[in-house]
Amino acid sequence: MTPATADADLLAAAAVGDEEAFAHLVERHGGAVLRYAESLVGSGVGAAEDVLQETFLAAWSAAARFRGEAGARGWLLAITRQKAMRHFRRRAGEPDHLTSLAELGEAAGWAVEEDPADRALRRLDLQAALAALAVEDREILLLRDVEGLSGEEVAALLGLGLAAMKSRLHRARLRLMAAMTPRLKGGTHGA
Amino acid sequence: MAHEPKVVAGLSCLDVLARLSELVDGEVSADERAQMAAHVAACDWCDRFGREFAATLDALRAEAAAPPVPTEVGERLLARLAGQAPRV
Repeated sequence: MTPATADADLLAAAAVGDEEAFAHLVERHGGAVLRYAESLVGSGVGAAEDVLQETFLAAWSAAARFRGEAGARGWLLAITRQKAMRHFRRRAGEPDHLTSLAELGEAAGWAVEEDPADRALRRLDLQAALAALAVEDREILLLRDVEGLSGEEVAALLGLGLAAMKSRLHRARLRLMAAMTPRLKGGTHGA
Repeated sequence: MAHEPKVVAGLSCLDVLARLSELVDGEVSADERAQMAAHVAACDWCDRFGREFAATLDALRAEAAAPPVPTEVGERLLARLAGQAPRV
């Protein structure tokens, strides 16, 4: 068992009780699982650690059923989401789809002429901007752009069609930009 | 100062805004990409916003390395695992 051993091989070993192999998986993917759990349930009062533990305990029990189509990280993140739902009650309804694309763009600085140097001075830290987003936006950005899952993997994980996932992702990206340029929100144009 | 939206190469500024994610994700055809490039080349506003959009995604993707699980968290997890047999 080496650090380069493939995830599928580690899971196959874990399926027959190899705790060392499973520990390698925890080491390799635990950070991503914990970060995703924190994005869903927050980082306080141990909730994210609870989700992490429940995720890996479930993965340990289900290791023999891993088929590898989505990759081990995508599989683990899907389990993470299932476990996080017990801790996190999602808001009713869909994210803010009623907001027009133009309004989202304007909030993100799309419609405002400004000296780029001024804007650079005002940009918030990326982590602070992510933390300020609604959980649905933070989640899809983390899965697609930070963890690098494919569009198809993210769509499957979130239970969305590919087109709906892309629409939600685009809006989340614009809302991230809006969160990074808070003082631009008042600017509009006549489009 | 308000921007005056325009139609260039058959695309409005809002068309470009709507498809920026597809553009940066490489999900537009060569023809569509050329059409968007023609618009952006003639629209400073879309050029600037598109660059900022791409730069924001670059910064987000640079976050890729998740910090490892804290040692004590990993130890608590593995302690719970000890003695549990996987279900096959």
